[in-house]
Amino acid sequence: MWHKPDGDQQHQLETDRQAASAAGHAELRDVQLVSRIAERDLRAFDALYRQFFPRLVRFLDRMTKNTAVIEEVINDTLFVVWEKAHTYNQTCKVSTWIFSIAYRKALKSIHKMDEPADFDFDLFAAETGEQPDSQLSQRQLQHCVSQALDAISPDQRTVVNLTYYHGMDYQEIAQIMDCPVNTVKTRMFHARGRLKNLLSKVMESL
Amino acid sequence: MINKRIVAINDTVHDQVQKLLPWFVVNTLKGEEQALVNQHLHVCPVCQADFAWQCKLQAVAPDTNDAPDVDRAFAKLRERIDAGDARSRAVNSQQGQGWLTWLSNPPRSWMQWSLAGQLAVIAVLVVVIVSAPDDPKEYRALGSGGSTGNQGNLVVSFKPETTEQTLRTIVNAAGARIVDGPTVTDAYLLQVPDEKLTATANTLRRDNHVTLAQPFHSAGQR
Repeated sequence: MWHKPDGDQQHQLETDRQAASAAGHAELRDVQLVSRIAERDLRAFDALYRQFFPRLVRFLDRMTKNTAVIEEVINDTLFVVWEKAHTYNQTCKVSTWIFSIAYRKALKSIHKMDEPADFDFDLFAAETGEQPDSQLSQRQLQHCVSQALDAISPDQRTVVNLTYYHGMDYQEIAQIMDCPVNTVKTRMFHARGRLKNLLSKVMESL
Repeated sequence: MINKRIVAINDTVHDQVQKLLPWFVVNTLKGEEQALVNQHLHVCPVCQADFAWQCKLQAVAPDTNDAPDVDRAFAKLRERIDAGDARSRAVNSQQGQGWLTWLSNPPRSWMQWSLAGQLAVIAVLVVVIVSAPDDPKEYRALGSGGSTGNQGNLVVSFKPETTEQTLRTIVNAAGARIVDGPTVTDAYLLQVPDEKLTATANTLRRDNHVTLAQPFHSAGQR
């Protein structure tokens, strides 16, 4: 039976409010940075670059395993931010704007490379089936989840990645991927089905 | 019948919640959607299990490859930005300050001087053409002669043996000027001041080389 402890409800609401306030503050700071970048402020650009670099690495790592390509896509993305900062009109979050640029740049790079992700289902089954679930370490679990994500379609993987590991809402994801909101929800629904099958044994150990 | 309808409604809510559940996990739902999911989770064991599974999946963040070095990557991008800015400055300098640069650093090669000279000539011609007053050309029929001042008023003919030198001497001595001739009858049209016309004609008639000296009045002079 689902229940949130009553005693914790007030605490949860307060935590949510604080999180929303922190998120709003962060967004305001991002907007200010972009405004300064539009005026060719290199210090602001440095700050924004270092702030988004790890987030973009995590995002792009799920799209391509090539470290050089990840660096190239990040620099291409943030070069656009430097050049086009004056065109940012605040109709979406700064992060949504930057991620949507990165997504398009990454798709182009992957298309040029023409390297389909190779995933060995048999090897994956063997790796996860060799030892009892209880013996799987956190690192192994992460590896299994990573491989399962590689096994689903790139579109589904991007939705899963942006939702669970970047905490984005479905509207932001729809903007980034330039598709309808319902498409995002449907991709996520099917992705969960695939992941449940692939990770059925692994997840029991958690 | 009623039970079936209630089940159908519940199925719809369940489907809705199933699609919204991931964003309930990451706490990005708002208002009605959040309330809908929260309410449904109290009564649906399937969604409760799914919620728990997704929380576990979220907690196990997938491993990542070696991340690129942020300092090195930023240094590369700075080089690109600096190169782009330098190009922009060069282009601006060529476009916006080209003439100032040219004036402050006069050209040295002959080609540049030649180009400058041609430009100056073109500029002068343009000024002359543009500033020239409208000058409606006077229409003159063929044979109508020059202006009124140049019109002949005395017809003279000479003996055939008269030399050119003698002819000029006679005309000059009479204070006349040849304005046309010789005609097909070897006559010349002279122009003399109107007040001396009769006297000049009489003088010429007395010369042995002259066979005819006849004053001639144009229509305007009559």
